[in-house]
Amino acid sequence: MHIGSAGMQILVIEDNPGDFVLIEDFLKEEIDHVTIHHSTTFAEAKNRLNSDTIYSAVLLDLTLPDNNGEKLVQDILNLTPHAPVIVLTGYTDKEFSVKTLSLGVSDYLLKDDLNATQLFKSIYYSIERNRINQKLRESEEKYRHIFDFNPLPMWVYDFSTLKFLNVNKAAVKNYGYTKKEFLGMTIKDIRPPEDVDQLDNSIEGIKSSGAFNQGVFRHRKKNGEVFEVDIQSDGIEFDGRKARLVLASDISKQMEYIRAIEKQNLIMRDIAWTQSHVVRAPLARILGLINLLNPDYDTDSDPSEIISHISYSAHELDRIVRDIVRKTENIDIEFKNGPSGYDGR
Amino acid sequence: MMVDDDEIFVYLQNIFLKKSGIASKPISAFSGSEALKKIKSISENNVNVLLFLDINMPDMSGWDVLDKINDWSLTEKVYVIIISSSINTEDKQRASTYNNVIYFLEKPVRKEDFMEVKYLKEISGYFS
Repeated sequence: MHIGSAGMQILVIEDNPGDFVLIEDFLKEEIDHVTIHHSTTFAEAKNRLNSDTIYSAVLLDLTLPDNNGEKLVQDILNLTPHAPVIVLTGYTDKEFSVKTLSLGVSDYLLKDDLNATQLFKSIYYSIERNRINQKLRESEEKYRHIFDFNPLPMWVYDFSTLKFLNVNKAAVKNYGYTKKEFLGMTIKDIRPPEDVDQLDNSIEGIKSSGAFNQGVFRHRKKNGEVFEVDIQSDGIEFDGRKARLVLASDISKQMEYIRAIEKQNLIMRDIAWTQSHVVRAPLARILGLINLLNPDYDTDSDPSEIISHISYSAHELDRIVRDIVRKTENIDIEFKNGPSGYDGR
Repeated sequence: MMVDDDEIFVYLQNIFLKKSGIASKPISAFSGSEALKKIKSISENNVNVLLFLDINMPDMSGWDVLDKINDWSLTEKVYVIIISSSINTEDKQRASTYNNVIYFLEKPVRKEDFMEVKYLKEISGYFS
């Protein structure tokens, strides 16, 4: 049982002195460390609930001099967001007591039947149930935060109407639409018009294959900018509707980088081609001419002519090699600048 | 006949063709179109041609020359030996798709390479 170090703090809101004494006796009988706070009017109770005291539970009589019935229940519940409220009532109010449960009251007890064991049990049950509900709320909030504050754009869309049902902050930031604008759009509205057919095909594919889907698509921001995204989506239930949860990562920078690398590859291939054809031409000539200078080689050619041909070819080779070096240096410069906006991360 | 835009190579090849005994007076052409003109007039006299053809030439490449010879149905009169500084297997494969290409020489060439040419079965009859 979770009772704070100060013991259990119980607020009893009851204007009938006789009933209060009875309740006080029951509480002291069953609970060892209990502090009982007593208010006889709504105004008084309001002051107590607004104070720093953290109550473990609130016991509430339905008729007070300054407030009663449904309004009283509502007011007290609003003032007590964290502690369970248990209603104490007479037989005549039984029907209404049942109704208070739907308003958010933890339990109701009939005063005429009240005994120590029953009161104790109701208080402990209510505190435990309240604690579990609290945890559930926190966990729901945590998951909502994972969606809302995820650094990657995410959204949920209705699988039959394709309407956005929810979008997170990153999607709002990246696409430039407000959440309200998103909720009035369908997922077709963030595609360039020429890509809508591709989207239709992809949805047909999901219909037949079901669950998880991944692919690269082009999306369009509010300002008209088109960029590439890696999309991962999976089916979920959202407010009872068949929907899909989508995670969209902007990969335009990576794609731009890949294209830049492919461009460099083309230049490299061009250099390799030059190596093979242009460099080898004068080189092959020099090798052939040197053959002719071999004294064993019986030719009648003029050695000085051959040497002048060799010299010419060697200079040509030098020019070609310089050209290749220049081309390679240009590639370095292009790599340093990178594709527009790519910062190397 | 030899076709090459590289004048020094033509000079060199000229010496080898003479020394290897393939031709006493080889005909030279420095472009594809010049070669085609000469081939046309020679073949009109019903004389066969042994063509040493370079691949990489400006304006008209060796492949263009081969295609024209095909178009003119002169493949039976013109035997072709490709001489190129190319070392790409791609080029070698492409050369093998032409019926009248009988050999592939890679630069640099030596006198011995031309001696081998004389013994190719398609043309050895002309040198005996």
